[in-house]
Amino acid sequence: MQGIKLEKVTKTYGKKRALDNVSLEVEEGSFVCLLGPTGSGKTTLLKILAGVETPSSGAVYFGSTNVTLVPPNKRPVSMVFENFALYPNMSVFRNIASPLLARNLPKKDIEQKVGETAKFLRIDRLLKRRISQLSGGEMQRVAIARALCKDAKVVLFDEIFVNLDYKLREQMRIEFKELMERVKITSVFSTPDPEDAFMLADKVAVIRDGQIRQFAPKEIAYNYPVDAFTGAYFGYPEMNLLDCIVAQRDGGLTLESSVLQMPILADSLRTKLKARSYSLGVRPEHLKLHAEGAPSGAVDGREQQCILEGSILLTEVVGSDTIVHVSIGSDAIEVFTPGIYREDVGKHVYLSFDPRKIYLFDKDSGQFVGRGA
Amino acid sequence: MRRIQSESVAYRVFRAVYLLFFTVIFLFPIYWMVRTSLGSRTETLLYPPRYFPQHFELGSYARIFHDMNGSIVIWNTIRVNITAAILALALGIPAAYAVSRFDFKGKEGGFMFTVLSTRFLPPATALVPIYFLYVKLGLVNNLAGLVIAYAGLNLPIVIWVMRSFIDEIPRAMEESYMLDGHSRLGAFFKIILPLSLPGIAAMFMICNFLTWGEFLLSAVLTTTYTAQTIPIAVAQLEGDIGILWQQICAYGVIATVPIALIIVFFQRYLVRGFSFGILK
Repeated sequence: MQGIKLEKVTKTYGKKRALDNVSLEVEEGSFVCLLGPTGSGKTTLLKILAGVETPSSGAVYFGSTNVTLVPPNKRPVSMVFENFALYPNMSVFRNIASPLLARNLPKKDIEQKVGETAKFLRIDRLLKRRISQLSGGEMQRVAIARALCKDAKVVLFDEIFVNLDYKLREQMRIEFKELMERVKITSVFSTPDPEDAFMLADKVAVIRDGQIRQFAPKEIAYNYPVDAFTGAYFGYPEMNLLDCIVAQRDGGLTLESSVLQMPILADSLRTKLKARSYSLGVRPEHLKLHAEGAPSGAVDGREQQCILEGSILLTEVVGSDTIVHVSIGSDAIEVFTPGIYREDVGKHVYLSFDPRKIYLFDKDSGQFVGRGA
Repeated sequence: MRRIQSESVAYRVFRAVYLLFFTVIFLFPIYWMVRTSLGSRTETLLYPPRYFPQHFELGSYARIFHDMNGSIVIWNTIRVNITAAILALALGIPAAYAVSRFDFKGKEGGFMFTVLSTRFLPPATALVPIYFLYVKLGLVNNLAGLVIAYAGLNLPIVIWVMRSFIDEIPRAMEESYMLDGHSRLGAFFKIILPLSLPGIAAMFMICNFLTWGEFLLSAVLTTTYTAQTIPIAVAQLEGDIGILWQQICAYGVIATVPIALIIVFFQRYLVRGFSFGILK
């Protein structure tokens, strides 16, 4: 089998269009992250790949074989669901053995395969337990073990970290990455969390309103998003977007708003810009917070900086980092600060950023125009 | 501190009296039925009534079994009701699964209403056509005919309530089971049915409750004791020689025993079953 392909797939439920003319090609052995907000069509797409749902139009290929109408029990695909979908009326052993029992394998082979897979995932001591006796992390491992036991060519993961608490999610992400690097199966992993995509994916497909906005290696999607939504969504915290216009000044073209004036440095960008409105994107991790006054001199070894002036709205501690919300004019900007950072609400602060790192999007269409450099 | 303690004692006394009062209200008819079944005719007709009889006898029970074909009637009742409940479940659960899991035109408005509307209809209105149909099919005075009629009475309720139970089972479980390589039928038997057991137990009880004392259909569709049930046998105890209260009460006691046993074994499923049917 040589990867999987969705070709112009549309799925409607009554009047609602869950997927709209989606085409996607996943190479064999690759790990693709399907990233998008709730209701964007991620689960529907996975279910169509699994055969649990049939597309309203379009086709699904496994290698060169059209499997659009092939039922799920005949497809070489397994799936781990959001709530794991473990069978509460069966033991852990029977849950993991379920795909093997469907193939009517000899009992000895089933016991051996289940034992090996359970040991691989460090759940061999749990085989006699009932599902109700397991923790969240253990249930996830059992669900993954069941998926791996099928010896499927493709494994689908539907938001499997969403129901885990923060600490467990961080730990499971690391373990999961190690596991998938060892197993090397064609995988599609759906998630609303960009951090999952950053950590796990070879390629990321950003989906919104049933359409794939961008399908690219994660570095490309991060550095050259196709539109403002993709740029903002594929980042944690989300990219800040400021309205601005292009103006002609003595020194050349500038981007201006009520709180900002910055020169356009990139030659490639100058040639693309017209006298109209744009959205200026600055990632929170590219902003630097200065609480003791406006920075003078170089910041992070860079002389030319853009400076914004505002006041602190709130500080939000997330794990061991802080997101500082700063009010600038009528906008609220988020700044990502490593470590625990505390400051009084209302304190006057300055933000600096490197103009080469900005993103520019057309205000009306949201389309990506270019980077600062 | 002293005031709280005295209020607590007063409340406990009030609660005990209150519960005792309602316990007596509910249990007294059952006591009176048992007492009458074990008493003589004279004791039964005494006025003012004697609440605690002077002596007990089992003559009424003996008469039911020896002179009135009681064992056959009782066995008919048990067989017909349990078989009808099982048949209603066997037909209703797959129907409920289909309504729960598949989309089809008119599912909510037309189909479910049509299913339930058969229960809105008083059985008396359909009695004549049912009778003539049964005559044509040779099902009059036939236990199988009564089973079919009772199963038909129970079927709408089974579909309605079991659909709610099955709705509660995440679809992802069956989808996962089918992705494991099993068929949808396998998922139905290995996942849906085991997880629906509380609902099935509740519906089994409810089906028996609904038809255990059913009179009208049994009276019209049966003619002899070979197919008659307890309600019909009891109605025949009111005759020219008077009303045989002791035998009526003896039948009542015997009829209560199987239902009481079913409740004892399945009671924890009963509340869930009613809740799902009513709240959903």
